[in-house]
Amino acid sequence: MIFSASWTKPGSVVTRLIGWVARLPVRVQTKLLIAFLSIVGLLIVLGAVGLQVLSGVNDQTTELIKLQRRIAAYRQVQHDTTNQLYSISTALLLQDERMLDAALRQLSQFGYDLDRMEFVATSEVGVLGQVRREYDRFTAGVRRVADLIRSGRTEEARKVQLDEIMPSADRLERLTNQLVNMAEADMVTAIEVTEGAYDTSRLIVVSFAVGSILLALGLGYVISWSLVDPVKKIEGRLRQIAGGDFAQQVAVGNRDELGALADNVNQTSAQLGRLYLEIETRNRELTETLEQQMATSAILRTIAASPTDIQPVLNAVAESAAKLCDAYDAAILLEDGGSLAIRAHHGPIPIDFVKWPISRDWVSGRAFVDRKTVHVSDLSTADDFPAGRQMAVRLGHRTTLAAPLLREDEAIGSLIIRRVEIRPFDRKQIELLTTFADQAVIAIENVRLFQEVQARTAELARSVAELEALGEVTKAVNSTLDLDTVLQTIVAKAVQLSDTDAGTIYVFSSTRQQFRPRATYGMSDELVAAISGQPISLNDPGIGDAARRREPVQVPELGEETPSPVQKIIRDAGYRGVLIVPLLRPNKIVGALVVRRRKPGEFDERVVHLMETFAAQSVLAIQNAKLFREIEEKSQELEAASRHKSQFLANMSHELRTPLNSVLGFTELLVDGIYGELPDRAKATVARVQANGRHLLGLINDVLDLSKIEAGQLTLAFDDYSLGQIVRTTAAAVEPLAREKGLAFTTTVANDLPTGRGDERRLTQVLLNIAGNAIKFTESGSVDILAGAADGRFEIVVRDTGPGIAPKDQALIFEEFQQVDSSSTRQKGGTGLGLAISKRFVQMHGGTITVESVPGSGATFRITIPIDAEERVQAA
Amino acid sequence: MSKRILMVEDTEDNRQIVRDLIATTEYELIEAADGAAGVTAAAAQKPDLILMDIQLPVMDGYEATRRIKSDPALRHIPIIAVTSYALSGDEAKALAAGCDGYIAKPFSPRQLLAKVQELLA
Repeated sequence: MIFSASWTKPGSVVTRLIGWVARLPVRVQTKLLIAFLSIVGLLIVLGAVGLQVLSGVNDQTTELIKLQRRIAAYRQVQHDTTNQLYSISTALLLQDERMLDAALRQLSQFGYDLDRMEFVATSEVGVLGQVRREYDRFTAGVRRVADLIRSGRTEEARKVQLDEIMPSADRLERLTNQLVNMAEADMVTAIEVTEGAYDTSRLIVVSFAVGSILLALGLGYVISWSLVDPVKKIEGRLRQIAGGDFAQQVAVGNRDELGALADNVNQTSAQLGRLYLEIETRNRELTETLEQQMATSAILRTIAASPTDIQPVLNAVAESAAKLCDAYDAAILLEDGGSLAIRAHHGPIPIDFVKWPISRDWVSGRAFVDRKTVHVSDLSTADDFPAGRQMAVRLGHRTTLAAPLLREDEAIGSLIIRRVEIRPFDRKQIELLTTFADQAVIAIENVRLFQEVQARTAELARSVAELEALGEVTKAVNSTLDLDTVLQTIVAKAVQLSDTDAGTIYVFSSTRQQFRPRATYGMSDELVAAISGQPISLNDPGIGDAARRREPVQVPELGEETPSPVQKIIRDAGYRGVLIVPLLRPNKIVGALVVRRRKPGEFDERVVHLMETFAAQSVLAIQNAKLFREIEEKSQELEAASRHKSQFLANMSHELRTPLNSVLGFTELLVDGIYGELPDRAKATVARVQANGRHLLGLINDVLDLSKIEAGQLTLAFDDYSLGQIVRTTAAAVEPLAREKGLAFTTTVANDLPTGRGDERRLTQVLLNIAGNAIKFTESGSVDILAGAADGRFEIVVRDTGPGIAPKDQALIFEEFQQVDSSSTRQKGGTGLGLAISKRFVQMHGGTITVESVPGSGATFRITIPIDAEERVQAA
Repeated sequence: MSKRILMVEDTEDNRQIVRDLIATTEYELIEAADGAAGVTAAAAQKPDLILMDIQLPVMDGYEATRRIKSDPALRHIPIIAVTSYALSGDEAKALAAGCDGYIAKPFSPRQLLAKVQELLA
């Protein structure tokens, strides 16, 4: 309500009071607390006064009660007096003892009441003394009467009553009445006093109450206003700030929170004012920058949109420069043979020349020459610009600004802006013009680069096409050995890349001394037939000439009178231009590549060079084909020779063995004594014949085996076998020899060996060979065979205590026809083929054979064979 | 009656060896020098065993064996192929042609006799 619109300014005293309260250097809560405590204090005083008044009223009331009690006591005495008179009178009348007793009892009661009265009415001492004396007289009279009655002296008694008691009683009554009246008068006074006190206290209470309320209201008003006023002021200020007015200060006398608030508001306002100014400046700058950027981006867009055309970009630059630099017009001039030529112009000031010689006599010229920005505030009076001044006078411009267009520090033109009045351009505008000049250069550069790139790209595309074609040709040369296909590819690519219409590759036959077409492209069958029927010799003025001179020959325009018969056919078929490139090898003519064009004209160097490359490829292809043919023939011959060799060996061994069969057969019959018992000498001789025959048989068998292996004709006969059986067979065969030489011979076969799968006969042959060698080469000691299985493989070890094998020989012994030394062969016999054959057999089983030996300490041969060699071999 | 053995063999030396060998036994030997003669002799003589060389003129040992084995009257006669070691797969081929045994050249007369005795036992 206080903050409502009906708020009005309080009076001046109150205003001062409010001001004083506001300036109190205490917090708002403290002010409120003080006001509250004041009101509470006033209320306490009000309560105390009220209580005081109440206690006065109470005293008066007590007084009144006392008076009432006195009056009652007086009335009781009056009553007692009357009762006594009555009782005595009755007792006199009736003369009854009981009445007398009653009268006497009442007399004591009377005494008691009189005592009480004396007690309550101590202030009435005088009257009470009279009452006491009268009472004594009265009681004495009563007693006397009573005594007289008892003694029957009634008359006397009555007389006493009449003379003494009754006047006494009257006096008593009078006295008590007097007392009552006095008391009642006191009472009236007391009541009046009480009423007065009540009125006074009511007045006091009411005045205090009203005072308190007024004080509370006053304090509330003052404090409220001391708060409201600054709040209103601050509010108003804030409204001003919101409205954008930051200049005002809010003046508040308060030294409390509101004062602090007002200070804050003032500071904030000042701050906001500063910020606002800053933002406004910034905003203005941003707007300008934005405009420039928009202009720039418009220019860049134009640059991007017209990569090949410079004009739209120059127009855009001129327009933006005029607008953003606040000039009347803008023009771009580019160097053109010693002059600056107008290339773009935007604005109403005329320009009356197309180009102007470059010199320092005019603004654009000077900017170009000095490669610096030139700024003239009034060109019409600038004496150091003679040509420029004349232009200004003629065309009506005054302030002029020109910036050079610089490409890598070299001027290529100028950008000029003009005004018709004298109003120099500011720093920003000068900077801006430089930027526009840069953009114009970028655009010009861009176009130049673009055109350059386009030219390069076209060149590259051509190179790529050539490389691709060459790649295809090379691929054809390398991938197919069909000469016709290769030459066909070459001639097709040659025609395509040389931009001609037809082509032919001729091959030169040195025996016939003639060129014959081998591949053609783009030619009709009739034309091919026609030129095929036309022999071309080395004397031919076209192809023959090129081949003899060993260099390309071109005929740009085939004439009617060409001396070459084949060229005449070509000309009749509609071709005009011919390029002939000879196919050459050192000291040899291979052929020629010819391309033909329907249009007459010179073949450029690039095409000639390219055709030379194709010619070289053709030579290579022809060479390759020839070499391949030769290789193929050779390999067929070799194959036949190999077949013949194998057949020869097979036949040979058969032929050798037939007589050997007779020799061995007859020898055995002789030894067995079929032809009768032989003399001892003959027996020994026959035994030697038999031994040598067997040796010869072994040799023949070994050679045959090896030749079959070489020819790939030896296949394994896979079957189940027992390694133990192989070892036993071997032992049975070699044991006699070991025994003969006095060697210890043992075989150790592991228990429960699995059944193997392989060629038992060949494996036996291997073990026989190894064990036989061991015994053969061991002079003393032992030979042991150990057989076991692990990891799916059999392992057979043959260990001897012979002379051993030197490390350098360990690899050699498995080669054909190798023994440690030839002398041992002579000593021990053997072909030197056994180990080679053994190794092949083991390998054919998917196994390995190795030797470990230290010379002088024997040798250990180790053979491993997959238990299921068939599965291994097939899987491999 | 002693058992009779037909030997088909083109080499005289080999025939001589077998002849000398058989002469020490109670067997009787019939000889043929080529495959065709061997087939004829087998049909005519019905021997108890045939020793068949493989490389023979006129008709080779395989063919001769097949012919003999295709004759129901002769099928029961055991045939031992006597082949050259030189040609791979001879043994398998001989067995495929119907031979009952196999002995490689050059043979040991002692072993040949053992084989013969085994089959005639």
